[in-house]
Amino acid sequence: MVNWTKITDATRHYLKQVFQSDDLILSYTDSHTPGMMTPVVIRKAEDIDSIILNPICTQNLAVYLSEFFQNDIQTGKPVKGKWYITVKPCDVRSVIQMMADEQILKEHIELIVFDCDGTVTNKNLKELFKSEIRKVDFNDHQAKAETLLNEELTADLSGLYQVKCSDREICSIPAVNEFTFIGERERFEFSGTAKNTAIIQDTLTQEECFEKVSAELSKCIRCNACRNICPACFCSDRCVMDKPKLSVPYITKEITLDQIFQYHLIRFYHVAPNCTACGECERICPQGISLSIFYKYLHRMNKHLFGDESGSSDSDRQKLLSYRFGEDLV
Amino acid sequence: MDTNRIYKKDMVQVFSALKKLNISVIGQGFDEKQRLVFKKVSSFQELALDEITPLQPVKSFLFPPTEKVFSYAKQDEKYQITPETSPESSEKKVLFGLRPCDVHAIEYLKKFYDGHFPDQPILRYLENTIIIGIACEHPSNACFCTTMDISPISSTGADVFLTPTENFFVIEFLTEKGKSLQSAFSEVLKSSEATDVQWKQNIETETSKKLLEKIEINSIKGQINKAYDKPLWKKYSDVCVACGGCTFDCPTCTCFDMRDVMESKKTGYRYRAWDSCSFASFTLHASGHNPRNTKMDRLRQRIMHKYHYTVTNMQTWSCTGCGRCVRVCPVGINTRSILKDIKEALHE
Repeated sequence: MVNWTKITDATRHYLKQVFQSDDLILSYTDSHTPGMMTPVVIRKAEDIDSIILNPICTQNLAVYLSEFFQNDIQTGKPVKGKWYITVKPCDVRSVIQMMADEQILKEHIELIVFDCDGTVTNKNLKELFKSEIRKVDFNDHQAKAETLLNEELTADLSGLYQVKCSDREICSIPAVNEFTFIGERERFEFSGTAKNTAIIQDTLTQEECFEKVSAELSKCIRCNACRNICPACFCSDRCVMDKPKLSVPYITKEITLDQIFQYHLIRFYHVAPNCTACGECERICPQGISLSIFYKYLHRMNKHLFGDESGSSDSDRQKLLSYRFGEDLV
Repeated sequence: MDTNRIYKKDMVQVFSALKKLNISVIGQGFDEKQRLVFKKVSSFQELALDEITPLQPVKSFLFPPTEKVFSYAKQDEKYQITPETSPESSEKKVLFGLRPCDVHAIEYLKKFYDGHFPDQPILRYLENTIIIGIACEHPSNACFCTTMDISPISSTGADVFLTPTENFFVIEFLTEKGKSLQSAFSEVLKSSEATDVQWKQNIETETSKKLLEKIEINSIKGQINKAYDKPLWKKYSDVCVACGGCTFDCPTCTCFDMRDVMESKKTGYRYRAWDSCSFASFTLHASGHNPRNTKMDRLRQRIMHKYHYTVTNMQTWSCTGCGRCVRVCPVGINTRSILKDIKEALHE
């Protein structure tokens, strides 16, 4: 059980002690969108009090790290202070994998891991309360919401956590990096409820697999949201999809099934070695495509074929694909 | 004004009358995976009018995500160009149960695409479309239509307007196009009572209780460009991931990209596909220079376009307050908060 007020207070308290000018904090704050938090970049000590941590801190903050770092490389500014990043146990892997891919430098990052029972998306909350909510507060497994007509509702969150929260492997913290743990327990241990999800089974024939996959992907509108939210997709605006005219004439911007396949397959193979199954792509897909069926498969195949497990080491090179510090064309 | 009643139990006949006229119906309902979408419906039961609006706006029907514009073929040293006309655009159809915000959005699209270079496929689609609006009883927690001067019971732009009650709809035929349906519905149209005007008012009071507080932005209309250099943009662009979700789900976003595909040495086609001002490639010049090089430039452009440039160029906001950008944003950027911040910055 997590007491969110205590966790928030402890995090603020810790940050206030360590924060110095030139440092940078990545954390969460209120977004004014009910059921949703927003990431916040803090550069001044007085803003630390805006930090709020709760089970709707769904975003994986690792996605911002490479961007900040790339900006620093490009403008020739050396990274001055420390970067404090408050992460859920499941997001630790993303950060560590980025270190292994040399997208960020270990010595600049300080991880602050906060205790977590599982996270809830605003879609989950809508299912839970069965109506539009104006406000929501959390304590332990309890959520207290106010509807648009100011009625008060309370509900139990356990069993409603995100699909990815059912996978214990994702939220076990790899023992490679030093981090500060914030929580009442000695160490983090998953206590959520497991939920089974349909994945691509190895027993499927090629045709069955194709049918299953195309049924999902035909919904895609190629908005690129899954690419942009992905901490493993750090090519940013150097992405091959953004310059179709330059080198690959067979990539067009058309939203036809074969182009959709092309986009997703390129992306899946590209991120296969460093995808840590954080599940952000599935959470944010505006078309509600179950992208987890792919990343779970990739994750398993990467382990099975190459013996690699992404996010478990901050220095091991991946066998399928690896990146170097400051590399121009990733 | 022509006001009648249509009982919900008689809607079966309405749908069969439309079918007899070869008019297809598009409305909000659930797809096979239980996702709320706009889709072709064949019966009243398929509609889900008691839900909030679907995330994907109805725009994708008249302005498809990808569309062939023309194909070409070279014959005897000459190029033959064949324009592509989708059969859908000349089909007669009804958009059933659009909320005032979505009706206003279509009004805006009509105005936008009927500009200096009229966009034929889209205008043809709209010409063959009858819009049946409905008073909004079910706003989402992100809706801010009143901020954009649109009332949840506004019938502007609709050909026919419905006011739902428990057992029947109060139906108004507003335009010539709308009146063309009147005879088809004649069997089920019941005369209305004097008190029926009251229903609309009731819905307005009920819905405004559910809506978030209105932000008075008329006082800064036409002056938002003064906030161009304020620090507020950085706060939002720091966390924006430039995914383009807000533009793809926006009912008034109109941008597209044109590309040519060479199928062989002699044949090929041109298509257009949705594009978004959130993408770096949107303004990338051939020289490699990008006038909107940072995420901040691009986020500011989107807001400025919606709330300032169209105000000065077309005398209208190009936002209807439907709240889809707020609902879709994966990192919780709230357009309403941005407006609040702009207002604050201007009053400093």
